[in-house]
Amino acid sequence: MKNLDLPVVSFTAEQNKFRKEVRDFLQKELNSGSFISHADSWMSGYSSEFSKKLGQQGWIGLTWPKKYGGQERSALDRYIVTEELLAIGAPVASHWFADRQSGPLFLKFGTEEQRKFFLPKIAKGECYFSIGLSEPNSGSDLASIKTKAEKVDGGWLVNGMKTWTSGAHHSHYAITLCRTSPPDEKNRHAGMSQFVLDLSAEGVTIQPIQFLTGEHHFNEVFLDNVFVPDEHVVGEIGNGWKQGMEELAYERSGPERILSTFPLLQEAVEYLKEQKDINGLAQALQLVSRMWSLRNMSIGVAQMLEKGEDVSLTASLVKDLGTIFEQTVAETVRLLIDSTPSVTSSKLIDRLMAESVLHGPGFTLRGGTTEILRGIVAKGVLAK
Amino acid sequence: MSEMQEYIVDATNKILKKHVTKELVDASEKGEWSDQLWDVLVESGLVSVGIEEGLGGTGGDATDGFAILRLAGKYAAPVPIFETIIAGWLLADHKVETTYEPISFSMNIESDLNSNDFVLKQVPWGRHVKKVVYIGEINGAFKIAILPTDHATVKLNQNLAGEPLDELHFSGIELEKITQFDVDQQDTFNRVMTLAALGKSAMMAGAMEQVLDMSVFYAGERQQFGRPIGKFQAVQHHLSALTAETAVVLAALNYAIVAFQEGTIKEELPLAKMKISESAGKVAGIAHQLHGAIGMTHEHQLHQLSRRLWAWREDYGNESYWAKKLAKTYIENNDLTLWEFITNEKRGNVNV
Repeated sequence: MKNLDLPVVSFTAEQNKFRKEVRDFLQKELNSGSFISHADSWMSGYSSEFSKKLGQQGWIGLTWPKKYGGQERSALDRYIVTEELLAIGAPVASHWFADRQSGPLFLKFGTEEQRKFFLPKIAKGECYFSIGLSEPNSGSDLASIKTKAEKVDGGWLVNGMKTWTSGAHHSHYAITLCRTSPPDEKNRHAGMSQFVLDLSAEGVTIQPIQFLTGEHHFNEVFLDNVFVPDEHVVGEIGNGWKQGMEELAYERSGPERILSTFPLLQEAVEYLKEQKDINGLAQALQLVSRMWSLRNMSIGVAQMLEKGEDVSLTASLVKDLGTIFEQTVAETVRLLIDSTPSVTSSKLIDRLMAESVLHGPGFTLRGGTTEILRGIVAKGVLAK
Repeated sequence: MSEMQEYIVDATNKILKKHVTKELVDASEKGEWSDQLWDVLVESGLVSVGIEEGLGGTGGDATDGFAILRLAGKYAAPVPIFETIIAGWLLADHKVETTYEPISFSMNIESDLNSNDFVLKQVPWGRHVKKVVYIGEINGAFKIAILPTDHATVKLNQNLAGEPLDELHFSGIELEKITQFDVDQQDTFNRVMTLAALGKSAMMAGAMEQVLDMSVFYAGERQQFGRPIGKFQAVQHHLSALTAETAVVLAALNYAIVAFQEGTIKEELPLAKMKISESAGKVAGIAHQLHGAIGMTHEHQLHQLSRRLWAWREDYGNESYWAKKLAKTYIENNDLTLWEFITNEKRGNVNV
């Protein structure tokens, strides 16, 4: 059996100073009314103004080379920025995928022209990306996608449909996984490629899918003879599956898999403390003990990612435990405080409770369902 | 891990792998003393790790001790190695030389020994130890004292795992003549709870690693419906949950141990012990479900670990104990928001 110990990371004095700088900035923004706190703000908090402010601070694309608009800082510095943003419930959905996945994808697999063109815009908080993976008949079984890209003169002609595309109505581009050769039963992961799809291009139709609350962050994206120029192919033709899977490591172990309901937990703890409710607070602190342990894990995985180590199994563990934890926060807190959950309430805790309950089903589905993750883990441990 | 710790871990692993069999654990539960195993552990210097050489110890630090205890938990080593190591550290605080004998410790902040005849309840390994380090009042003053057990009669008792948890009836001990040290009650209580809760946490982590290994093995070997049960998704999900719990337990343990080593441990102790005790119950439950009926039998080894997990999660504060204690501190002495509390890096050299 593989050793499951992860690195123990102690933040440096400089990193703690940096955290304070980020926190003070966010607190000032919150106090000045530039945003209001939401649970699950990385999925539903769209604000291009706020994204641009973060870009001005240099906090998007933090780890990227300076020549592409980044700051060349460490993955742990980025971890600090990310968790500070989520803990305060800041609206980060606009630039989220571009910063987390698309930028790193260009750095790893993109051409020099792509890096020079896209990365500085992303880092400024002006250029947003969505992720075009799922299709109506390809959810957990992603390798069964049908959207096709056919070679034409100077580029590719894309036909098909993507769904559950978060923020497509808001983003400029979508990294889109397409079949570039027919399915091969012997190698299901072959013959797929990634393209930068301009969402304003001719032939792209974006239709909202209302979330169960009526909110709009998902979309259906119809692709009808959309021309994608050759220079918008990402990496190698046929290597799309492997490239996409590498993105997922970044997607599965970050603080957004632990902190989606943190604003609720913090508010509840504050309330219980004021009430001097020792028993209630004790139950809330048991959640904190889980959260603290999960955060240790997640930071350990971030450290491994920085060193280029394989984290596919451990990242899956973080996401499985973390997202169930996010749901448990709402389920536990609702029994500890007197709340009438409502998204329209002027009382912060009622609104955060409503957001946490209503967004809950998504936590364990998006970015790989719990069932898929558990399959990955079990196959990993059985193979060893 | 330091080079020395790697060496210690390697040596401990080899010794325990060779000596601790299911039969040995069974025999211990029936009351036998595992003399061979104990002698090897003593000769290898593993029961005196973390005690300076000048006091007869092996050297190294407490983290080496916790690494040994993690393996002791993994193999369910049926000897008082946890008790002896921690009692040894408490005595070394007062420059008492190590004697390589099995010793236990017993802390009771409510008790006061004030006559030559008294009873200590629930002394781990009481029947087999030569001394008990007593932490509590003697004639109204808070002490750490060494009680020789040759004056004691034993009323047998055991914990959930069948480990000795005996009642010792002392008589004819002249309290003024035994080795004893005046100590600060709160500091000493904190020190004992920190060492013991971390030590038990390490043992639980080791036991969970072993339960995971056993479960992976069983799922690959046991066949039903013509294939290994590990081929079924329902069983795979159990394996995944066991892996996840074990990994998160190690993340809690390792952070707490580093905080201890750096002398800054405060909230890390309750946070880690709560998480590890909580996971202990989950892991034992899931592993039993995965093993089916055979796992419930005495013949199978699973119970030697699951019963230990059920026993140890209660030791030195279960989830409820630490949660309430932390809640009290949080209300009384904390001006931080929850986020500041969680991300607070340097907690100061304060015990909980």
